[in-house]
Amino acid sequence: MSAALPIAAAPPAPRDPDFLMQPERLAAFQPSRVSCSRALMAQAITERWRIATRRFDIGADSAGTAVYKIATPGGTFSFIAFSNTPQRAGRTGRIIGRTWDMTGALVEGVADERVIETTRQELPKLYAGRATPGTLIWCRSNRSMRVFDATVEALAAGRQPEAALIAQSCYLMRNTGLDGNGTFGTRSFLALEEGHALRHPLAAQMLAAYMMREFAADLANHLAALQSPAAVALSPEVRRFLGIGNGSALGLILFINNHPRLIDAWIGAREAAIAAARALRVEAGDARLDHLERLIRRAAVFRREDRMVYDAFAPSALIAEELEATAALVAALRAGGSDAAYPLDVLAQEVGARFHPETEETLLSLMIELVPEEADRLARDMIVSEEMEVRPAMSAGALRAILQREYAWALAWDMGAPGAYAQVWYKSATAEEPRRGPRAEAPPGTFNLGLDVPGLVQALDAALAGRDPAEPVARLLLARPDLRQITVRVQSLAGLRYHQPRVNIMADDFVPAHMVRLMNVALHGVDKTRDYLARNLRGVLFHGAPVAAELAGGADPDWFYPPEPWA
Amino acid sequence: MSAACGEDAVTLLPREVRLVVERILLLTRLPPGAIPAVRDVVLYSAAAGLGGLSLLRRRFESLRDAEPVALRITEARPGGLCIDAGGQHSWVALPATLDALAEAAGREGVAVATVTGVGDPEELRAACALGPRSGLTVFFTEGGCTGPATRANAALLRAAGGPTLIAAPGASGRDAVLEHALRRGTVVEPELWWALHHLSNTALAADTPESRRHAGPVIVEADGRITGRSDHDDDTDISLLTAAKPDAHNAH
Repeated sequence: MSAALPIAAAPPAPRDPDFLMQPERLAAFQPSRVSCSRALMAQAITERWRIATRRFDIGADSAGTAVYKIATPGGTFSFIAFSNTPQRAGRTGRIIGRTWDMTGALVEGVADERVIETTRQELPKLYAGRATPGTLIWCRSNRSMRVFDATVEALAAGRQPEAALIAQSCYLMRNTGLDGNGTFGTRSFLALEEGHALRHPLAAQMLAAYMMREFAADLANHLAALQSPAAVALSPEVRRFLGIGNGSALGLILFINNHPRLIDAWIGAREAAIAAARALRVEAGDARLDHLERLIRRAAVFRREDRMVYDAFAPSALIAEELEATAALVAALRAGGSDAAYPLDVLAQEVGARFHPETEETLLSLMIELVPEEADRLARDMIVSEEMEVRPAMSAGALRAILQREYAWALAWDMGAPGAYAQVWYKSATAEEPRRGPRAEAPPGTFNLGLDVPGLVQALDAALAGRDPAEPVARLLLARPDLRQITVRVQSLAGLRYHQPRVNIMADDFVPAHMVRLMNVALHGVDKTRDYLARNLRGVLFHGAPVAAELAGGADPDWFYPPEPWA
Repeated sequence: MSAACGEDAVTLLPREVRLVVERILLLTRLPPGAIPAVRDVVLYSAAAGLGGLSLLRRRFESLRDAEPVALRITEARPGGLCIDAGGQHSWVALPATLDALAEAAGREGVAVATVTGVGDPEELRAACALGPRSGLTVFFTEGGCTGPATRANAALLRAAGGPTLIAAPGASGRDAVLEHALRRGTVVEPELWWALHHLSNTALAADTPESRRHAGPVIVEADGRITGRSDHDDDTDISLLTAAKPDAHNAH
C-alpha cells in the first residue's frame, strides 16, 4: 500500500526576521489595529471615553486657553491648550522653531488653576522648564497657515472648506513635538500604575496628539463664529476627515536604537496578529471575508483619492489599482471558497508574489481586523523595559555563538566599503535637533551619537576570536571596556527576533526615511507620509478618526481610510 | 545659568539623569562603549543617596582629564579578589568590579573584593544599589570582614580592611532603587541641576548654517538656493536656517 497521505499545511507563522527587518520591507509596513494611534482609538471606542470642554477662553487674535477633561475607566485626564497668535518670525516645522501656535499639556486628574498657571509659565521654557507633578506629556503644534486660514474663512462665510485645499494636507494643525516619559519632569511611563488608561506604549503621546486635533477643529469653529454670526461649524464628515499633521525625522532612528525591545515587541505583536488572521478557517460565504473585502475596497478608494506626492515610496495610484485586484480575489474566495487548509494564508502569499510590498502589507494590516480581540490584547501587552544588564559569567564561546546565530547579517556587512562610515549622527546645541551629515561637514568636536551595530558586532566578534571560548565575558570586558555597550546589548537582546533593522546607519547609502516610515506609519499609524530628502516625513494622524463627541456613544470601529467627504 | 530656570527643588526622573550624565561623560576620555555603564553607576549613586550629581559636579575636571586604565584583578583564593583600580574613580571602576564579583560569586557561592587605588572609595557603595541588577546581594565595608558561608567548604573568605565589597547571588531580581527612582524621582537643588544641564549641553554640536542642512525637509544653501520639494507645509522662516548664529532663545 503506497497511497500518499496529504501533507498537512503548517499553520501560518510570524515571518522570518531576515526578510522582515530589511529596510525596504519595514518601510512598506502599513498602519493597523496594533498601531499606537489606532490602538488608542480602539480602546477609546470600546471604553466609551467621555471628552468634555471645560474652558475655551480664546479671543479673535487666537490667544487664550482651552481646557478639556477626558474621562476613562482607567483614570481622568486634562488636556490644557495654550493658544497663541500666529507669527511668521521664528516659525518652522523643525524642532528648532521658536514660535508655536499652540502649546499643550496632558496631565492626570482634573487640572486646577495652580496646575494650569504653572504649566503656562513653565511650558514655553521647554528645556529650562519643569512640568507639574502628574504631567504625562508636553506638546506643541503649528497651523498649516494656508489651510487653517482658508477653513476659518469658509466657515465664517457659512460654507464648508474646499476639498481641493483641505485634502492637500488633511489637517489644520501639525504636531511639532511631543515630550514625556521623564522629560522635563513628566512621569515615567514604566511607573504608571496597573489599570492606568495610558500605560501601554506611546498611548499618552497619542492621546495628546488626538487632543491637539480636537483643539484645532474647535479653534477653527470658534474663530469663524467670532468673525460672523452666519458662520457654520465643520461638518461631522469634514471634521472626521481632518486629522492632526505630523512631522518626523532623524530622531526616530535614534529612538529605534534606544528602544530595541519595544521595536521587537511591536513587530512581534503585529506578526502574531497577522499569523492568527492568516490561520482563520474561512469558508464560502463567510461574513469575515465580506468584512475584509469592504475594508480593502475602502483602502483602494483612499489610495485613489490620495493627492500626495511621494519620492521614495510607491505612488498611491499603483497601490489603489492593486488593492482593487486584491479585493476581487477576496470576493472570489467568498463566492467559491477554497480547498486550502488556510485560505487567507494562500491569498496573502498570492498577493505578496504578485503585487507591491505596500499592497501586501495593506492586506496584512487589514486582515488583523478579523482578529480584533487578539490584536487589542497584543497591543496592550507591549509594556517593556529597555534596561539591559551584562552577564559576566557567560562564556566567550556562548557570546560568540549568539553573534553567529543572530547577527550573521552584521558580520557579513562590508564595513570597509567606500562610504560605510561617511556619515555622523549628532544633536545640535539649538533645541537638541538630531542631525546627520558627512563627517567632514560636522562642526568641530562633534560626538557621534549613531549606534554602529554592524561595526561594533564585527569588533566584538574579532575580539572574541582571539580568546579562550571557555573564559567568562567578564575577562573580555576587563581588557576591552570599549566593547561593553555592544556586549550588553547582544546578551540582553538574545533570542528576540525583531529588534534590529538590517542597516548600517553610518553609511552614505542609508535611507533614513525607511526607518522613519517604519515608526511613523507602522508604529504610530500615520497616513499619507510624504517624504523629503529621504529623511523627513510629513503625514496625518487620526485621519478619519471619530471626533471626541462621538466616542461616548460608541463610534464606528472601522473609521480609518476615510473617503473624501466632498465626493 | 539661564534666567528661565526656576528656584524650586527639581525632581529628576532617571531618563533626564541618564541623558545629562551621559553627555557629561562624553567630555571625558572614556571609550564611548564604556559610558552607558558608568552613567548608570552615577544614576544609582544619585538615586541611592550617595555622592551622585553633587559629586559629579565636584569631580568633573578630574574625571574629564583621567586616562582610562584597565583594572588589575587577582584572585588569591577562590572568590577572594584583590582589585587595583589604578587610581581611577570608583564610578569608572565599578562596572568591571561588579563583573568580577558576579562571575566569582556565581562560581564560588560568594565573592569578596578588596579595592585599592580608587578615587572616592565610599562611592563603591553604589555597588549595593546596582547589585540586584545582576542578581547579586552586595555589602560594602571599610573594616575587616568575613563573607557568609555559602557552601560545604568551611573556609570563609576574609578581608583585612580597606574598602571591600561582599557579593552573593540571591537578590530577588527586583531593582528597588530604579523602581523608586522611576516613581518618585531624585530631588536635587536647582542650582546643581541647571549647572550640570548646561555643562552637559557643551557636548552638543555647535549650531552652524552648514549643520542646519543636516536636517529638515529642505536644504537652504549659503546663496539662498533651496533644495527639496516645497509642499512640506512648514511656513518656515528661512532666516532660522541661514543665520550665522542660532537664536539665543532656543540655544543652550
